[in-house]
Amino acid sequence: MTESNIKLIKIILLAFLLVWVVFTLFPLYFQLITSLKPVAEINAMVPTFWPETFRPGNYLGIFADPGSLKSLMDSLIVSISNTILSLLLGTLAGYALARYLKGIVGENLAFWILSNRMFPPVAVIIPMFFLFDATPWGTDSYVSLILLYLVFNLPLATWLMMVFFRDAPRELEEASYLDGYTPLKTFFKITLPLVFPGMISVAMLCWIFAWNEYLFANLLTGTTVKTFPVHIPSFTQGSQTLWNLVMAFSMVAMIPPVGMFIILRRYMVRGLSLGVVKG
Amino acid sequence: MSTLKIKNLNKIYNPGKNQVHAVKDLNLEIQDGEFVALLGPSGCGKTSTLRMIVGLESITSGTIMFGDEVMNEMTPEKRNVAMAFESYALYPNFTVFENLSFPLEVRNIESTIRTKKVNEIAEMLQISDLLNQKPGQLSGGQQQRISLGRALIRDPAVFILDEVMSHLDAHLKFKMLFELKKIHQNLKKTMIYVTHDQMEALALSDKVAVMANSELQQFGNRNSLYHQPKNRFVADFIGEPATNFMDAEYNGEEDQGQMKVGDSLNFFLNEESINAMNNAKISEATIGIRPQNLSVEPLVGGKSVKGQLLINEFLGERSILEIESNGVHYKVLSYPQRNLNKGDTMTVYYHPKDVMVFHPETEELVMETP
Repeated sequence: MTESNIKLIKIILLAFLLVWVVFTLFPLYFQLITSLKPVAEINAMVPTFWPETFRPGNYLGIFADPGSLKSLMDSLIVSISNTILSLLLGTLAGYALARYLKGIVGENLAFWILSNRMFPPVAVIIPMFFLFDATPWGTDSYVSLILLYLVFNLPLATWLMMVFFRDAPRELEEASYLDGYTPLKTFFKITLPLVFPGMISVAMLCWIFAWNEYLFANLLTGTTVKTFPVHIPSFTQGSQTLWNLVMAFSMVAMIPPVGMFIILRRYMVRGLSLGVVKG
Repeated sequence: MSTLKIKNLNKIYNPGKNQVHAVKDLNLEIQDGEFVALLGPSGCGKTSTLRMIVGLESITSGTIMFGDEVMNEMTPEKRNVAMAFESYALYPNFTVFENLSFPLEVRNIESTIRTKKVNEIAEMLQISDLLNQKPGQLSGGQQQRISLGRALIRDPAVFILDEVMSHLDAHLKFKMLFELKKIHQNLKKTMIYVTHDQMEALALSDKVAVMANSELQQFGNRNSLYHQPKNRFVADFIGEPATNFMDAEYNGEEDQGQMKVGDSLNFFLNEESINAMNNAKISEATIGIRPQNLSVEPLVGGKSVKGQLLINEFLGERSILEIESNGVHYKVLSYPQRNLNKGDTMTVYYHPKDVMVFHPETEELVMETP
């Protein structure tokens, strides 16, 4: 291939990338500018792509409603508790599947666990409502939501942790037994550090799911507990949706996951490639 | 501990339809302080055996005893064995120093003593300058030495070394073999060295257990393995270049104790073998003769056969000559031969005592029952 051809291909690929970047970043851009517009401007027939008047005060305005801050706190409580539980149970179950249930039984059991995740959640909404209604803590509680999200996050966490544990060399544990560690000590001191990047990835995935979930949160909770996705539709004035406040609140709600991803991105990439590249 | 006794040891993986009988009725007794090699081709059951010794694999039947204590149900951390793994099994998030000191740390040994011991072992294995690095940054040979060091740093009842030289280059391997031998002579501890390389096994060990097809073929010192191989497998596996095997006929007294290979090639047997053949009452057998025991120079009291040179493999310090006699091919190990060429007529000498005879069916060495 001649040099000019290589250059041409490079330019075409970069052009594709540019289109892709515009395509993916535009919603975010529009969210940002909408969050800074006054009410009058958000309903303009020809939308403006740069705010005519800036209203950074929208970001303070959203917190005029005390429910806003509480909804973020509720979301934090639910998503963090759920992530900790998913990770704890998923890690232990994943280890058991990876080490003690090999062969056809383990493979099928693991797949069966994961298949819970493939089940359309809508199908069980009504039964779930009655089920949690019958519990002592009722539907509108942290416990209900945390447990419910576990139904979706635990299979994924278990499956992923199983894959990470399978890739962690068995000999290291054996060496540790021979060096004098008990199986329990080996698990915590030798094996867990090996899959730590994987655990971070799993935690991020679980956390983002629990943080953004709307359907079940809307159905089960709403009074005592109200996570932020359920709170968002409340930014209205009469029959008008205050899109600027909705967008401003969404921007605020994006800060924790984006921030955490930036901090933990190093581990996340490594975690997801644990099985691909042998260290 | 005094001795390591293995009695009727069996290992069966996946009992049932697709079962694999990895170790069959193994009996072995290793004396305190002995250096024993487990030698065999891959898949012969040697790794399964050592995994049962250290407790990483359950025992299907049989007993493993350290001294008078039965080890069968004992967990690995209680058996007090140290093992160096073929795959190194270094802890990737620890530095080399931490890896080496880990077994001591687990045993709550004081940090000054730990540091002293790590430095000693690092110096011996020439890894002193690597102590602050992580295993991932090191080459295979360096990692292998660290893994060896981690096993040697302890004071266990038995050392198990699994293919620990397989990733070292020839020069370093030679040096390490020498070091290991020295370490053994200093420590006087029981060591079991697992390898598929007969050179390593014979160079290091007091005794070698040759395994094949899940069974122990022969357990003995290098002399007996080399000169009195129990069967064709051992004769073939021990020794480099490999033993020449030829199918031969035997007609007893009529041929004056000669084995007839093909139409016109005859090998004389010594008296013991003749008696053994007569007792065994067989008319066919496989004869084996080592290339080292064939010579192109006349031997005192030797017999000879004639043939044509096919290949002169000149290796610098020696030559391997491939010779054909009436369609039968065999190899002769000789001092370097620069002037021999293909087609040259050769006279090959041997001693009848070096002609080994193997039973055609059992493949065992045909010998006089004492």
